[in-house]
Amino acid sequence: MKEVKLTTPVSLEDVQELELGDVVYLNGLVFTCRGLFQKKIVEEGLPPPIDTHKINVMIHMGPVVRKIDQKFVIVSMAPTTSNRYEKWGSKIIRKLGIKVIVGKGTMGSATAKAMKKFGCVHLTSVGILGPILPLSAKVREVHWYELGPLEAVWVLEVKDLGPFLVDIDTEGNSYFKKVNEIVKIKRGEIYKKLGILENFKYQSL
Amino acid sequence: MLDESLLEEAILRVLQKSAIEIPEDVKRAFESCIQKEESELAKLHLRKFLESINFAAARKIPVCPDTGWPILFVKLGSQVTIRGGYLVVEKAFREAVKKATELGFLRVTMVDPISRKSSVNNVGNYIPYVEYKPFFADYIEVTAVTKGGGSELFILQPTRVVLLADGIIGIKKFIIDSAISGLIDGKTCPPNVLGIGIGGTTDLCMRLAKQAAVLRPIGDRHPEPRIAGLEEDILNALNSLGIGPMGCGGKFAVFDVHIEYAYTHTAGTVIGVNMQCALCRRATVRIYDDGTIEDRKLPSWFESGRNERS
Repeated sequence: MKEVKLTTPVSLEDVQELELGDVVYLNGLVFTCRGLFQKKIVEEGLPPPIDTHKINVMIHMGPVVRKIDQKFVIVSMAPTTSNRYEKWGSKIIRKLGIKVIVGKGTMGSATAKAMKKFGCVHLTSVGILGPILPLSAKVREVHWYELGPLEAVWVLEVKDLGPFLVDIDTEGNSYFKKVNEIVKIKRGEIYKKLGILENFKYQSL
Repeated sequence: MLDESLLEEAILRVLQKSAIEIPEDVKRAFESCIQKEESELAKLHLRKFLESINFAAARKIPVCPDTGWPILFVKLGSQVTIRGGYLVVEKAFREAVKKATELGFLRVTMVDPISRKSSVNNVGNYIPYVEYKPFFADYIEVTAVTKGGGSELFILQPTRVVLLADGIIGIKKFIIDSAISGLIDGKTCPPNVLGIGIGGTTDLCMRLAKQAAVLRPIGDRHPEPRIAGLEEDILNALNSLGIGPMGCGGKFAVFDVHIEYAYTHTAGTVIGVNMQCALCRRATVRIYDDGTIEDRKLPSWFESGRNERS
């Protein structure tokens, strides 16, 4: 496993060098969002509240935040399922100039295509590290707080935030697709073992 | 005799514990899988999981930000008396969930399904979700399960009817296919515990699947050898696919497979599938009639047998 440290703003060359399966740690300013942010940007045409060409690492995540002495402190945070946002993925990359999307699981073919065209990667969660990820992050700003603390846009200053795994590269290749191709072959083998015939069809009603 | 404040105290305690502390059997499963995994990446996933689990317990922080659905499984001892009657129990549950949310142990996650608005305290129609089981004892046993969205929502098709013409093969195929649909890409946060319901009405079947997924300890086998055998066959099959932790490749897609079954209509059999995520969050407490509160390592949900309404 190759370990890579990225610092924002992340350049095109930075992401082009990443390979599927690389383990990445993030540094600098990054921002969080969930579905409402992406819906507002893509479907309602709102401008983003931050300069996403500078803060060009976007994490699908809603942190658990407490206010201590007038300051926001993150108690727990972990990337959330990216595939839920596939509908907006390609347009977000084109419109906001994002170079790195971090989430759980992966994204679909439309987003992978946009990643190839505009030079962007998807990183996926290693484990679920809710309590320990906040040790590498400080809240710098919060925007659109009226959407609620989960859906708000949190700008975080991070130091070696990770590990995350490169699962879509700038060629649009997918790590999970490779794993799933093996699963497909082995699925046939376990069907055989369990006595499930290849041409099995359920009785229709 | 128990009163509302004691019940609320005990339930708040068990809700918090469920969000923060991973049960011993689950931690052992992580440790044993780290030994058996061969791929460096699979080991890294599991090691980081464990590091995070230990840190959460030491600092009393929710082990996953998604504290999910508050679910309570309640064994109601017949010899327990409650000041104000059984209605007080339900009230204590709702108040305890509100308080656990207020204290930051449960994230505000529950929303109205149509408006998407939130009560900001995780209490709403039918939530917390409570299942009761009456039995003979001088205590109430409450198991709190904080159940995340990934494991609950991302199985493509969690239920189907299997007919006589489809046979046992139809049952096995459905279980394998629907489990894989959730496991790939790490959608259900594997290694999971897979719970399967076979038979009963559609709702009973799904309830049995959930109970099998969240209430039986890892390593437990069904008392009937034919069901235990099926559990092992499915377990071995799913762990030979190469899906691995978080769907990133490796040996362990599931920690265990548990099956519960109910008598069914001769016309057909419903099959239901439910997952518990790698961070199998559950905590159990007993509240005795004399007011003693006792933490328990494991739920005893199935110990009183499988014949009664459960």
